[in-house]
Amino acid sequence: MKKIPISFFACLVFVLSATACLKQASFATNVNSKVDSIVSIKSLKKLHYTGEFELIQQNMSIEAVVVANDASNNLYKTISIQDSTAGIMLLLDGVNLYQEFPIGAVLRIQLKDLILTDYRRMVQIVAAVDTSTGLMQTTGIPSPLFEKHIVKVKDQPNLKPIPVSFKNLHDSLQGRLIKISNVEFASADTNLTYADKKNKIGASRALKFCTGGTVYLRTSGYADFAGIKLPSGNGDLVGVYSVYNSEKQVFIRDTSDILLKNKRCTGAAWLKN
Amino acid sequence: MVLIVERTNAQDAFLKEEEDGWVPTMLQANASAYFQLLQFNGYGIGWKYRGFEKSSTVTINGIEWNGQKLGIDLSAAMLGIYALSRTEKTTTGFEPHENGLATSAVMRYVNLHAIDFPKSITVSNRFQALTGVYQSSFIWSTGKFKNNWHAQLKWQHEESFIQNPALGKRALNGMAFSIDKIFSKNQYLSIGFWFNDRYQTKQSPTVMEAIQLSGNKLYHPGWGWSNGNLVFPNAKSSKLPMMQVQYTKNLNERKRFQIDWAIAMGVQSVDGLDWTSVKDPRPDYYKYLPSFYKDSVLADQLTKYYKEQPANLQLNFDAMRRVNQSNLDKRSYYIMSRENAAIQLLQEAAHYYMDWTDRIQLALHYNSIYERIEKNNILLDLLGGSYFLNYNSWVSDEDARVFQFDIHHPDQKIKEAGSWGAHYSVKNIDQQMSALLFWQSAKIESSIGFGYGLTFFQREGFNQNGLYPKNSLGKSAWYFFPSQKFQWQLMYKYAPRLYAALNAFLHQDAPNWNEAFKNIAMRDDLSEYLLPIRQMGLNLGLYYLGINYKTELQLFGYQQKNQSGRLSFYHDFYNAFVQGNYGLMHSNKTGIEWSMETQFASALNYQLAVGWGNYIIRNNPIYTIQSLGTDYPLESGNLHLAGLPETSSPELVIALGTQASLSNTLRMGISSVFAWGRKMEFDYFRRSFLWEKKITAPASMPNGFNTNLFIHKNSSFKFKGLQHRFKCFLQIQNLLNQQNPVFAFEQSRFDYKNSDALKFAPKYLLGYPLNASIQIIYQIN
Repeated sequence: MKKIPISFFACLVFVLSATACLKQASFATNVNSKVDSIVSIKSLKKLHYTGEFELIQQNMSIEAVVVANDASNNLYKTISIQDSTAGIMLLLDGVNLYQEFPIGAVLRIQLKDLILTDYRRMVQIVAAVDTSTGLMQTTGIPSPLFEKHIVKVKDQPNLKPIPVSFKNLHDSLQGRLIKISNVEFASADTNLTYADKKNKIGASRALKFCTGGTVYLRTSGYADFAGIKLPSGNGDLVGVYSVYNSEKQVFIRDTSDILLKNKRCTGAAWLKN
Repeated sequence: MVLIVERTNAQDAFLKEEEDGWVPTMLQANASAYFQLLQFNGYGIGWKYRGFEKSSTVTINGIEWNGQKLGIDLSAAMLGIYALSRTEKTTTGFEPHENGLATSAVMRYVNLHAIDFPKSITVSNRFQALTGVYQSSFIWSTGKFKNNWHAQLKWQHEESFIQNPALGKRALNGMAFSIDKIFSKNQYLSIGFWFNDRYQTKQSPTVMEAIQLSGNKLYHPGWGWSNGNLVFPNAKSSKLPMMQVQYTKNLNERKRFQIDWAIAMGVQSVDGLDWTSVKDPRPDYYKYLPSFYKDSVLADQLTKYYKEQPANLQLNFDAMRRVNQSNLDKRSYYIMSRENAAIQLLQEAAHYYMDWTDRIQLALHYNSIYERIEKNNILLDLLGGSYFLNYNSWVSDEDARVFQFDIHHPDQKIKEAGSWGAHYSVKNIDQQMSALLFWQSAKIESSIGFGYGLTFFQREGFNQNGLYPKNSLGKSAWYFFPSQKFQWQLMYKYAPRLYAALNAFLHQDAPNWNEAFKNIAMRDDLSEYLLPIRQMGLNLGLYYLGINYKTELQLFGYQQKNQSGRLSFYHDFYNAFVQGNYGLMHSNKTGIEWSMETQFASALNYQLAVGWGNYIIRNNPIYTIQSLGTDYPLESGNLHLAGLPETSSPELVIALGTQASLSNTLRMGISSVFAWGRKMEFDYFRRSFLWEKKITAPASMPNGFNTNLFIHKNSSFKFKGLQHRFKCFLQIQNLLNQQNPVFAFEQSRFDYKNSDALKFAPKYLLGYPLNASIQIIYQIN
């Protein structure tokens, strides 16, 4: 029998040795195991000076529940979160945020490298601030960094709004889910829609307390319900409290937040406004 | 559903090259050295034969298989059958052949005849280190047995051991069978059957920024993690058995008649990730990359984040599952889906050959195709959700426009394994006839050929969608397209080894069914600007075929008229999905090819090939952009394309090859190819008269360079009267580890508002780095 020449095996050994050097690459995801100290939103907001911006350089987190998102497009690239002490707006550079951050989701947000600022006194957390144009332009957390900064901890499905009277509406309620009672839209507004859906222009509609006082319902022109006519009755409203400079505002998640089905109150109270 | 332009043809070719072992066999080859060298080495540098986009066709036992015309992935269905076949002839440059008229594609004529193979048993094993692909096959050739029968049986298996997830995985179980019967010296029957159960993941082209961030030359974003497991959402599979029967009868010494039948019936499918009204899951989406952020601190943060955790540049199925499970009734916004194509194909061909006189031969051909392809989508995986709504949504950056796929079943909730989306079939009936007359004398040979054909298409929609409710359901009219062909060749033989040949042709071609319809998945309207494609050209070849030296020079010029095309894409100026159509586009292809091969003392062969081609669009074609659904014209006019390259194939290529027979049993060879003048495939619609002044010329790609090496070792011995052979074939590809883009293209999206060419940056698919494979064959006969 003819022997198989040694060069044949040399050829085989060369290739096998070459392939043996190859190792499976490691693609394991790094998990940041550092546990930050958790601070309250109230104490976080104390770090902020109106009109300024503050870069958060410490390892600290807040733990808060989502109370409003962009499900009905009334918010854009923003969610509103609150803990037991306060609420705040969180700017996120993404769309369809409601799918990742549904209402009732409890989030832990790592704040390091994020920035505290405000928009017309409404305090918010952002990822970048640009003042090169003379105006303060903010950017939300980029979508790929959501996972770096935000972890969903659990669900808190039964969110209860805080009942608030007009005289108790103040900045400490910014970003919190509130419930106001015995309110109705000003009679001049009841023929209007929530906003200008056709031209995509937002609007503020005056909500009158029967006991006196006005708060403005702010609605985006892009909101799904922007083109719906305002209800003319009286009743309760659930929404997130916000401010625009000195104007007290509230925005709703969708029209189910409004229960104005009672008879309108008498006009005497308006005189006190 | 988001439309993604796939580059499947190029990817298929790329993968095919990886699958097929190659052994350049110079001086025995019947195609030119130029074509031989480039077909094996050219893919990595984006070379296309004379710039033609159409893939090659193969004629097996007289039946022509043209994957583009039939809409079938032939590479998957036919993989491996070539081991049972002999290539009779490979023709290029519209070279006439007795089996029929030539086309612009490379045509390969193959005989699948068991009688061509002696009695033997062959076992083959091949392993490629980089991809981890292991292939094995077993071939049994019976030789002649009882009553003049000959048979061959092949079984083949392939699987991959994942070395790097970017290279994906493959699996194959296949068999091929051929049996021949010689009834007499004048009658011959041949039957072939083959079936491959094939699965193969696909690579996704991506932007250079993502490749650089990943730090991985093999990076592509088309795979990801799900609960710690690898998931490859983009894949193709094939289960398409095929059978051919050939009967040949020599009517007398001068006349031969041959009739062939082919049948194919099965399924080919393409898997993909789909999403609706939700965040774009592609990790290389432009808004997720650092370049999107003007704020340098944020861009740096993102860069650092990706560099530290490159896994975030892959699809994140866990995040998709969380989204699908986060809503109250667990509606799936992300799914994995499979588009099935159920194929029924019947082909018949008849050939009549007559030696009219000693100098004149006549060949008559008739080819008939009946084909029906039915396409629908099957929901493969709800990714943690409970149902998927049967909507089609044209997703923009900020918005989504939704319509019903089936208005008779609105808001239909689809479960896993359920059918969703577009559901339609297309029938293709094709009749082709041709006649060729060959004449030869001592000094001159000539041939002339005519062909005429009729091609019929009919679409049938099985659901009525909300986008085109008037023309999506039911059967369309039968549309038919005639085609005509004329070819002529004149060859002058100066001497037995020196001759010149001039080929001329004039064709008027029918479109294939995929080109004929404007949006075949959604509606039955014909494409805009659909006119017969006219091709004409000349090819002049000078040949010298010596014993130790062979050279040829080819000059060619082609002209194509009335090319048209269509594309649905998101238009950032209109903030909407649009349908772009162009037509009346004319192009020229001119070039020169020279090759030589020589050998010294029969132990050393050299090959050298040089090719230069100028492939340009020569006019400004007309176009319209219409809003999707309403067909409302948004803009129309001319695309300013005159003078721009028609193809991304390099302008200049130089290929070198050498083979040495170191002993009677050891052979090795090395070949290199260089490419200059590569352009990326560019977007036509941004170069309209409205925008052209703000658009830069298509970017050039880096020059290509690729070197491959092989070593082939034989060994044999006799034992118990049987001959035992071992063959070891070592192949090293991209020996110098060059990083060549296989192809690159501009995205259909463009920043029309600010004309920032890098906002939607070009996408690339990089070729493989240095890699090796070994094949060991044992044969007994």
